Amino acid sequence: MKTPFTFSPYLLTNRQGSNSTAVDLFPSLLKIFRLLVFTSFISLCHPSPAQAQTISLSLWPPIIEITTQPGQTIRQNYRLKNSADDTIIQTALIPFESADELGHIQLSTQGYQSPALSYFSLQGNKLPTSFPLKAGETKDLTLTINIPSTASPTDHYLTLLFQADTQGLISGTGSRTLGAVGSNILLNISSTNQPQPTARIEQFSLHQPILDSFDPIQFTLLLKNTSPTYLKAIGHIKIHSSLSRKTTTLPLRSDNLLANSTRQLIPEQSWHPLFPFGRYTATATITPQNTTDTISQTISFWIIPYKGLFTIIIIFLLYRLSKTLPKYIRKYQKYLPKPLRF
Amino acid sequence: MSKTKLFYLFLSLFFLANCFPAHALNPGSYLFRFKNPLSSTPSSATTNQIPFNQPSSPNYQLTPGFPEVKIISDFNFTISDISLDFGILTPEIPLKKSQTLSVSAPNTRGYSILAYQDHPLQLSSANAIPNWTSSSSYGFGYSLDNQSFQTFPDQSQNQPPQTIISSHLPAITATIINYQVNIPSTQAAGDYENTIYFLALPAY
Repeated sequence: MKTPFTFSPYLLTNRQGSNSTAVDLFPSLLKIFRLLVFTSFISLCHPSPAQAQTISLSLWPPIIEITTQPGQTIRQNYRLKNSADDTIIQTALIPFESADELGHIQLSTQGYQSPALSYFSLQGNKLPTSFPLKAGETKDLTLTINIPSTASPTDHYLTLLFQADTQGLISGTGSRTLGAVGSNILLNISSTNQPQPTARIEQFSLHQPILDSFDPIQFTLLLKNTSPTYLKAIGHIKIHSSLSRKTTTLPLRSDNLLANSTRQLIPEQSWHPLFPFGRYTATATITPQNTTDTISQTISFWIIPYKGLFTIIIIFLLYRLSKTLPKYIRKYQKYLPKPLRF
Repeated sequence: MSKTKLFYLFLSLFFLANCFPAHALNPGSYLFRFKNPLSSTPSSATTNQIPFNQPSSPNYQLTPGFPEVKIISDFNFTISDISLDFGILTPEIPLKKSQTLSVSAPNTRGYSILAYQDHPLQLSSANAIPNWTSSSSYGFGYSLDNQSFQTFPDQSQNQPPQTIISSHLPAITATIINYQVNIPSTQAAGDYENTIYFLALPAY
């Protein structure tokens, strides 16, 4: 009976021996050895990225919105997953402000200390804090917000940052890189628990006054929050064709606007009519969430296939030219100098 | 199939699996991230483990996540290789390194990656490799298009973090960031080091 994969020094050294098991096994072991050398060569040629140190953090939720009164305690769970190497997570809470009109944020790193920082604790610890997170580990973390009864009614915009403090290995000159993920907190402290935000439309326009039927049609809609509390814009754009009498409604993404800031609102879907032609009107209607104050603005515009028409006219003129040009050449050939005669 | 062939097959699969791990990311593999960019549930996502709408009370309203999101998917940020090891620098010979910054933000209103460095590449406060400038042939900088090199904001100079990548729409992206360092022959010998910070932040 053969025992081909039983390891023994004898079987490796006694190649010419009378033991039939060893004789049969040696070619197999040789093949295994060759395979090992081959696969090792492959892994040397293609160094696995897993050997490099990485950072990979996943976080949920990306944002929480809170409207509350002084004296309340609120808890929210966060889920943090480490898909890379073992690491230490450094956690901090940093105030932020609007960076642009598209909802991106700029962290306040110039020493601004929001009074709201003292309201927060993570897993019972004051922030900043740190904790280990192993490779592949997922942690549920509870953020507790204790609003003092003396807290002023105002807004606080903060980012909860989780930074992986994995230390990279550098043999000579080089840079270590560290990565962090954040989750935004929009906290509104209100004495009534029902803030009444106000807004106005700053700009509602198209990128061109006359549009081509085959071009993408994009609206620019800028909304200004004129109140000291953040708001969520709920609304839509209604487009009406004067020619076909059809009306299309584009719901707007319900974006947040920080206090006294402006944001570009984006339709949830783009408008792709089959063959738009003629005069259109578009009406943007917005109602800040939890209010009844609706604001609207209407624009009108023309859509004609002017690029196609222009191309047809050019082709027609070239065609006419090709028909009439030979006649003129024949007619005036006698006036041409001899080298140019056809 | 004989036992020997089966053994070879498993052995080969084992080694190939080690050579090409499924979760690894490098500049050459980022295209796989775009296989299904419109999917609302990427493979790395863990879904529906936390209740979407936690109960509010009469005294407060709490909304985690965005209301239109029906399938929960984590906001993920990955740096492919955190060590940018240039080794020993040779004057007048530029050295390049790259890494991939991947963001999975399918259930957000977009995101931005902010970056800054603690200080320039330095041996000591007196000996530093300066930040790359357009008028200089020497220095340290990064590029997203491999043509024009820029420098990171310097925390030691109180410069705020700067947005280097952003999207105002839900996105799953992988961006290769290239680094270059070049020193003159007058540069003092030694190992120059610094730390670069990347902050992946969802839009609000």
